[in-house]
Amino acid sequence: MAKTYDYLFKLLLIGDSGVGKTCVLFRFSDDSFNNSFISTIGIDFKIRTIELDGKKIKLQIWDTAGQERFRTITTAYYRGAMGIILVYDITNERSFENIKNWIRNIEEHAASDVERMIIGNKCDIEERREVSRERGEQLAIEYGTKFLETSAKANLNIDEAFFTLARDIKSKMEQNEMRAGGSSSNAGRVNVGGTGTQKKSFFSNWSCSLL
Amino acid sequence: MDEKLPENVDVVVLGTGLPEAILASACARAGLSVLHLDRNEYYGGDWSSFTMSMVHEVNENKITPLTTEQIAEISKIHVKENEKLIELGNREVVENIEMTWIPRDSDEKSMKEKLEEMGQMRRFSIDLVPKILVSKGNMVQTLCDSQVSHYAEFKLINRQLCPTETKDSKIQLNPVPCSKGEIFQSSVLSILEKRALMKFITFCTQWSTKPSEEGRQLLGEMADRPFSEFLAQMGVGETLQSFIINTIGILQPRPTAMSGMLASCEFMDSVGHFGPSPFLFPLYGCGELSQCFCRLAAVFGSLYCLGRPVQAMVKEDDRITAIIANNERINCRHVIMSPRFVPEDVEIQKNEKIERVVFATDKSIKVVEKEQLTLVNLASLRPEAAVSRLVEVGFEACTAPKGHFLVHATGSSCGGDEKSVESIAERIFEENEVVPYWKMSFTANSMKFDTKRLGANIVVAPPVDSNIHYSNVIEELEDVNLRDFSVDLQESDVDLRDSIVDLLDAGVDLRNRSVDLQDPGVNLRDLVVDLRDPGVDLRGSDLDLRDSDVDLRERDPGVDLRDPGVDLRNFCVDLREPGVDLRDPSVDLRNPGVDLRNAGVDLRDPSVDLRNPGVDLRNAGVDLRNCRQIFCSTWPDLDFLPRAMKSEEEEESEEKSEEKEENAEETAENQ
Repeated sequence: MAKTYDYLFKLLLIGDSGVGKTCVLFRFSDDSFNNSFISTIGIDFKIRTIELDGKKIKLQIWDTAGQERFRTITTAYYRGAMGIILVYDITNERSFENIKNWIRNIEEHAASDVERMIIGNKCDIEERREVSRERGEQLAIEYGTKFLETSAKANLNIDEAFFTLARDIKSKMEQNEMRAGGSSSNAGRVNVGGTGTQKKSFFSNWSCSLL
Repeated sequence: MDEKLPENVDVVVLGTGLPEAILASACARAGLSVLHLDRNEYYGGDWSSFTMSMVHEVNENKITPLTTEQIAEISKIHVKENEKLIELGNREVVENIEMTWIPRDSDEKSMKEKLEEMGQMRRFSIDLVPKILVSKGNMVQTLCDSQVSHYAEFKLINRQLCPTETKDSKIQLNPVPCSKGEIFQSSVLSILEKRALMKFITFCTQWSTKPSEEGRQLLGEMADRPFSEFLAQMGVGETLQSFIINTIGILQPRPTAMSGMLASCEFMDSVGHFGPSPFLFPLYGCGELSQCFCRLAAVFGSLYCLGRPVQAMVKEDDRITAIIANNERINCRHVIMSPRFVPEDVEIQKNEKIERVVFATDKSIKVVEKEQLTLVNLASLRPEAAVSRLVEVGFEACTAPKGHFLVHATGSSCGGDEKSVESIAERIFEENEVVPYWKMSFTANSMKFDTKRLGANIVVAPPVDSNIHYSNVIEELEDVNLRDFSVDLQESDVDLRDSIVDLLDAGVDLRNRSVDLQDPGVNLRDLVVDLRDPGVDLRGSDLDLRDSDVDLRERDPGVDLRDPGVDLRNFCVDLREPGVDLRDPSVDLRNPGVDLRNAGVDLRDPSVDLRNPGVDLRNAGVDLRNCRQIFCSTWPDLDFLPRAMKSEEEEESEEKSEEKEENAEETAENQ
């Protein structure tokens, strides 16, 4: 049987508490929106499969599990991430300024070739805007990333953000495939949670199941 | 970012080492509110993995005890009349740390500069406690049960080396064959030995499934004798004896006949589970595991705050009532702490000193074509010591830059310097032309305390230990009686968001919902007022309203539910009937028919705000005591996760198994 996708990308959402990371995630994965602010509980990751240039791409998008609240995101969160969306709130100057800190964090802990993108969320609340679009664009240029203003509530640019990032990862990946090399070999990686991991060994028919 | 810490939680966890992280995640998953604190800026405490730049910074990080003025100040603000302030300790779990860059003649530029220039310092992951996972061991089981396995990846320890001293006193490193193929291809064993080995394996397998009378008797008699004696009895020659003992000795140093047999069986059972080797190593180092459990705890609502001073505890009678951290008071009902935090005046019951040395090299101790994850049992070279081993992990394990390795030496101390694991490692390096460019050495203290007098509601997590596996840690954690925690749940504000599973298990079946709690006809909020009255014991009464001759219809509007004779459990209100107003005397409360247990309210329905349910379950008679499923195989179901998420996970695992099948087919074809 064929795989149901061609690529699997692990993406992360990062940014200050309350900028709408979880809302962006839910808008993209479930096309739903909930206005009330609840610090993220019980959200691990969400999955949506998209199609780009005839390739099926499975996006596995991880939420911070609220660990950004005291800047205590585990370094393990960054492992294996291929793309990171940095989120700030256009009605919150502080969250915009903190993007720099988050980028420093990424440089410290994520793979050096991770694709990044900055989005200014809540762009539907124009009357409370504190960060102009130009400043957002400027910051993105400074760090050499793409930029979009989004609204999870009004469903503005959310799909575009994820599609753009996925496209960038895909083209980088296809280039790398030609060059090969880079990170340690993926061969031989074991996921202990998988169910079909029982390999036949010569011991298995003697099944020694004491413990 | 200076958000305030919460004022009240169920559990405060001090230290983010692996055992504390597992306990925190268990508590969070059981629905308790958890605040997890660490004085360090990083996760993992004494179980951490560091990058090369971090490891040098951490060394300079010292915590000073509180001054008398500080204690007086804290006491004045935070401690009530009947309470006592107890300063938390800062035990030296890791001590005598020394780190050096070793200059080498062959380097034009120092390796430090070279690595810094290339930005490779952060590619190191230097474990304080390097361990391996046994494929069928309880750590792997815990990872699977808790689904923390989602967060981590592993690689097989694909090479075990067994050193022997040759006549010219050189150390020869022989690969230990694990699988059938490897045994037959091995050049270390003669054909006769191979046959004897296979015979022994067969015996083990039989013994563990249905032991023959003979085998049982033999082991019964010899259980506590050395394993080697037992092997000799089995007709295993000396070379093979030492070979077997060295191989399983990594799991069970100095085995007796019984412990040796158990270890042999565990070893063989794990072979082939994930691949030819029975052992796994976590990518990016063992420190990842504590972080992964912390993430699980966070996903279930645990709050994380690192890099803050954690100063003292507040005690009333024999219970800790609060923690003072960052000069804030956090009231709590339970405290879990790593050994590091145990107050200085508590006596150490037992302390095992573990000698640790880490080398950074740019050549493997035994070069082969493909990079390996290597385990070397040094027991044969240090027979007096209980623990002596090397673990070599590099780029393949994501713990070093490409072409580099970390060699971890671990040993219990014995005899003089020339017998230390460090000196043996250095001999191995020299003989194999490996020149380390960096070295760190320290002593780890595996401390146990008598904490009974410290407080009735304190759990001290297991310390770091010298075993190569995690079995003992998990076993000790399973012994931690978390059930004690949940007894108090009845008195606490139960957070319904996470305890739904437990309510289901309690016999209240809320799943088949037909009642809309928001239906204006049913006024649950008014019912609550009466239930909350502390004087009502709705559980203890044995009066059944149905059989009583009290006709509620003839009473005033506003039936007094506080009447101690009312047994609400058998109350049988038909909540499904629209427009019921419990205060309305016209309701026939005697009417049997509503069993709330079958009423099936779907608490997963997002329209019901469970965080503010209005219904106070504290005294409602739902006994949560017996439904806490906290550990290991009894992790609660993930039923209450959004359905979409679950199906995706399932879908994913299906896909994975499909891939596996595919791969299997491919290999079959290739053959």
